[in-house]
Amino acid sequence: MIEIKNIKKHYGKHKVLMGVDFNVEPGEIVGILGENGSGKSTLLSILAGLQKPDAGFFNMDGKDMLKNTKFRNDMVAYVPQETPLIPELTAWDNLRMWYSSDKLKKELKDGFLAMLGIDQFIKVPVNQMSGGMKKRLTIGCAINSSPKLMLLDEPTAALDLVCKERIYTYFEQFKRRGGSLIIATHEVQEIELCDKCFILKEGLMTPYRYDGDIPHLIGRL
Amino acid sequence: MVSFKDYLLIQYKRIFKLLPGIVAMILVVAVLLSGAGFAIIHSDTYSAEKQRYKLGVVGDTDDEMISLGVYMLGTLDESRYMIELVEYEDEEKAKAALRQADVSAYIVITEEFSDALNAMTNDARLKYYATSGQKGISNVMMDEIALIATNIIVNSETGICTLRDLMKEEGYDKDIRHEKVNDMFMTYISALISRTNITEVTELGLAGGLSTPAYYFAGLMLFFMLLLSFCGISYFLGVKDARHKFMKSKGINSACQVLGEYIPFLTINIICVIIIIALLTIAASSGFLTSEELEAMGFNHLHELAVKLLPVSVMFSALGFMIFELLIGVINKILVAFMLYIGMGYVSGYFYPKTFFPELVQKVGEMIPTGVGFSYFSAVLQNNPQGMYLLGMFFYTATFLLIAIWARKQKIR
Repeated sequence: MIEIKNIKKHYGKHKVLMGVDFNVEPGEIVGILGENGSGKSTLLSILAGLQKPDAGFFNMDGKDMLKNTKFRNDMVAYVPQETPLIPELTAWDNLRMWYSSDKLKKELKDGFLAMLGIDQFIKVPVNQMSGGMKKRLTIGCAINSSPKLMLLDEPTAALDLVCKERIYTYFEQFKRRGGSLIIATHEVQEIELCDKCFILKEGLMTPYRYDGDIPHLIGRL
Repeated sequence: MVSFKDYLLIQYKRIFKLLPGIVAMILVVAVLLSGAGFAIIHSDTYSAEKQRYKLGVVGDTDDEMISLGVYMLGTLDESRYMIELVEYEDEEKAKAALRQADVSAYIVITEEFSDALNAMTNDARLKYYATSGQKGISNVMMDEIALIATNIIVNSETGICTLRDLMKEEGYDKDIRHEKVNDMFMTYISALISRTNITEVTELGLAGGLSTPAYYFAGLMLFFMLLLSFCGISYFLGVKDARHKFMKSKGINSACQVLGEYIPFLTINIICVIIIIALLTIAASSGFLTSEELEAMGFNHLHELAVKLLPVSVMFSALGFMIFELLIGVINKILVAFMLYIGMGYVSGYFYPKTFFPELVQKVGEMIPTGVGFSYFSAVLQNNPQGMYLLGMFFYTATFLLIAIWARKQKIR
């Protein structure tokens, strides 16, 4: 069980988050919707430990994730919007930073990395990869410690349909194994994938049930 | 969880992938700077500087005594090895020559001066003209030359004139007067020639006692080390904030990130310095650089030099790292760093002696990182104590890295 309570954050006079509350159950995908600049990325960066909130709690299985940084680093995987990969190195080299050689081989054979199809381009340098390959590899790097929660900032933006489908399949697998996902997104396909959604507006989160009515969604944002 | 060691290793892996390009750039920069250094040391200007300064002489040289003085100064006196006298018909021509740097200064011997000399009143002065500006080594030298010229022309010839006039007053015959005056000339010439034995010409240091080749070598070497950061510019390109954020989310904080990237960057810079030292060694062993030339540059053992340059490399690498961390965009990085390096190097005397600048600028030039590096390297070349400079470089290195860490934190936010 993941509890996020009263998260507040401001930059100077600008209040970005004014008390964000929501819970995430194991095996649940939560979508965070909102306009650009509404604070989605800020919220994810706080949960990923990139910056500290002004106030609030972030607990997982009863542990304070804002204080237990080692536990958080292992249990939370953060996938930023842009690629964090090292372009001069191959997929193998990038992954080797996060995996032991034996574990990497095993994962590439029949683990999550194989599920992501990374084994097919393991020797390709990142600067020769497509956007979809990079995204899959980033996810592969992020999940090295078998996390329970994945934070994804617009994970399939600008990817082709085949690639999106592959990543969604992986999300389903991750979810089935008891993992939770928090996705900041604008993509309808991703919203449909979510078990519950929230709209982040003016620093506050409000639950939103998406029923395929896009004009209604736009009106709420 | 990933450790600092893992991060460091991946950065080493990354920078070594870029190494061929980096080495190619180093060689280009090294060839260009070697060419510049070679040109300076073997240039006509330098050779001329090393041999003689040209002094223009304008005016009434028809006077027997003055023409003799000028002749002796140009042919017999020890100063002839430093001074070449060039006679001009009028002052305008001398002035034009001074403007075109054909002469370093000129002396005007006026008619009043000749008359005063013959009348032994000594109430007229030689007029000495030199280029304006701050006192550089040339100006100092020219002051000395003017002094020599004045001494020889005024004092010695006044003595000869005195003898001639006294003998005339005492009623000596013209033949006897000529004989005695000629004897006096010969005694004077003998005295001038003997100056060769009592003087020892030593090349004055350009800065802090460094010889001209050592000074230029130090300046070029340090400027080259500044430019080394450009060779590794590819290491800083294509790095997105997302990577820093991702690393932070994995437990690698800003300080670890900066150090983990700085150490490989420093390693590459040190490798570059070693390559240059190796090239110098090859040049020395193949006879391209003679042992005399090496000694003139201030060192004999090149491998020692590589070790001694290490602290400078540490500081300059930190400076480059900080600049590239603070700035966004490749054009910005290169332009700002280049302008900064040129400015800092110039003020610290890498291209011209610091004495050209006002005192305040000189002080600033000595205190900024490039100046501290130069003072340290000068001390190394002269085997002087280097403790204070090492401390200064350590302070700057720590400051640059702390600023880089702060900048990284801002990017991760």
